[in-house]
Amino acid sequence: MIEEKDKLLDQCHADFFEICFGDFPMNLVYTRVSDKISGYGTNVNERVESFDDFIALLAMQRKESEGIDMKFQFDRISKTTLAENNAATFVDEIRLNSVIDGKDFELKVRVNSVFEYEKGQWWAVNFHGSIPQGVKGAQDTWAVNEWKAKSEELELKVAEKTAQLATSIEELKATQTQLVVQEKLAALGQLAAGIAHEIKNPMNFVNNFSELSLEYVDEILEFLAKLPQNDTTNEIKDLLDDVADNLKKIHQHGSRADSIVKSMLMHSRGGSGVLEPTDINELVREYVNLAFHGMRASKNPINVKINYELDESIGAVPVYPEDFSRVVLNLCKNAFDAMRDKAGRSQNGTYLPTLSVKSMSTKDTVQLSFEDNGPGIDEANRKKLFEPFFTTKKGTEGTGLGLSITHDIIKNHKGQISIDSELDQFTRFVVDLPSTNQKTTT
Amino acid sequence: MKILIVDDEKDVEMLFRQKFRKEIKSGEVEMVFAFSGQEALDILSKDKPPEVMYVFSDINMPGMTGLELLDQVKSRFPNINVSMISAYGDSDNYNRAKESGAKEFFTKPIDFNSLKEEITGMLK
Repeated sequence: MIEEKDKLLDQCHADFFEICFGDFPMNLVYTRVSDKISGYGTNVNERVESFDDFIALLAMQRKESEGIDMKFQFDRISKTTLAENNAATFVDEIRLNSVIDGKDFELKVRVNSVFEYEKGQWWAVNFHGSIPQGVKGAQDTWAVNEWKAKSEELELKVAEKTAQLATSIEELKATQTQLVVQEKLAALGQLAAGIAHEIKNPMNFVNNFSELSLEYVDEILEFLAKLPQNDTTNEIKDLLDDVADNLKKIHQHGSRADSIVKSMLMHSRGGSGVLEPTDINELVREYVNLAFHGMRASKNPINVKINYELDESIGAVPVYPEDFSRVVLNLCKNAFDAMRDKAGRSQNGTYLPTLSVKSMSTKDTVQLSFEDNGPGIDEANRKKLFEPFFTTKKGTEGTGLGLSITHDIIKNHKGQISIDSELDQFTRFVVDLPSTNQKTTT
Repeated sequence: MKILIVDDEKDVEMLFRQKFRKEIKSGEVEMVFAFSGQEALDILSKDKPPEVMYVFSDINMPGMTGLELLDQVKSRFPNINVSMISAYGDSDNYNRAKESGAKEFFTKPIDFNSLKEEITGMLK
């Protein structure tokens, strides 16, 4: 008898959950739930004081879960029978599983329920649902909105992570491409160095023989001048002048090729030198001077005013003197070339090309700046300035290696080079060198 | 004065002969050429004592290098002057040559004016 009654109790208990969470027919609810039903749902508005309240709550719940495929299971935590088996209390944990927007969700609700035995059957008389942890929606029985919000949050997180991953992959790909390019450049550099060495000798012959032939032409012209002059000697003279011009061209272009080869060798040459404590002001003065006189001795000399502002308190700075002197030469040569362009365009002759050379000592670095008042460099070109073979010099003037080499040399010194420029106003290169000795591996 | 030029590039002969045409014509200078270190040593060993007074040698040559030749010449014919002519003007080569007793160190492309000065300086 007691066993039978207990079985009925379990059945009623199961039906009650079927009513609350499943799809127990609404019109049969009265067969399981007492008129005296009271209780609380999972939120404050779900207060039930009568059977009608209960039906209303149920209706609301079922409406909320419309379209949601919800399944439930319950784990019994405790079951206690009281009043000589005429009443029982249960504590259960309900696991509600549903699929919302294609995603699985699980919500746990703890439910206390009270059943009474009356008129030959069990009735649900009281219940209390505990608000699941973390669910904030006080108006939302099934926390569907919470789930949706969480889902959206998760989706956002996933999207964010996916975006991050995509960026990382992009970066990796870019790095990989760069590595491949660098590898190719390194191989190309080695090849270039090899070729440069091989080209140097034949290039020397081209230059030497053209120079020699030019000397001979001059001698022939001298002999020719001693002959009685007539149409034939004049014709010969004209032709020899043309030959001399051609030889000059051969020599000029040969020298150009030679300077490219030299630059390439310089570029590929690993710094085998030694860091030597060097009076940087003296080095700067010497090589600015050398660059100036080189320019004055060139085909297109210009008048340049050179201003020095050298901080004489700078002590010896560790540099590779040969390499670093090249930096000074390159920067000066560029400045002179730029200012020559501007001077050529300046009509009224009021433009005075000026190169300002400064040195400054800061705590850990020595700063050198080379500023010209030339045409300036626009932003697009500024970005490409240190790339090998980038040049704005027309035709035969530049190899496009000067600043690239300059950059490499400064990098070898663990220093930095930066550029600032304003169109038609100035271009300033600033070189920062560490003022203390440190090992560099080159 | 008899000068020996050592370089594996054969056109060097034509270049030198033309560059020193006047000096050769006047008989001030006589030039012989060798295209390897071994050939240079053979030439020097041919006459006793050797007629060559000055050797100009390239460094980078197949077989015996110019620096090896320098050592050999200096040990066997200490009275002969040897100067190096190299495309590699780096300090390693320079130091080695100087340590081994090279008189001068010329870099390529050759500055013929300074080379002429060196030779005419020897003539006086």
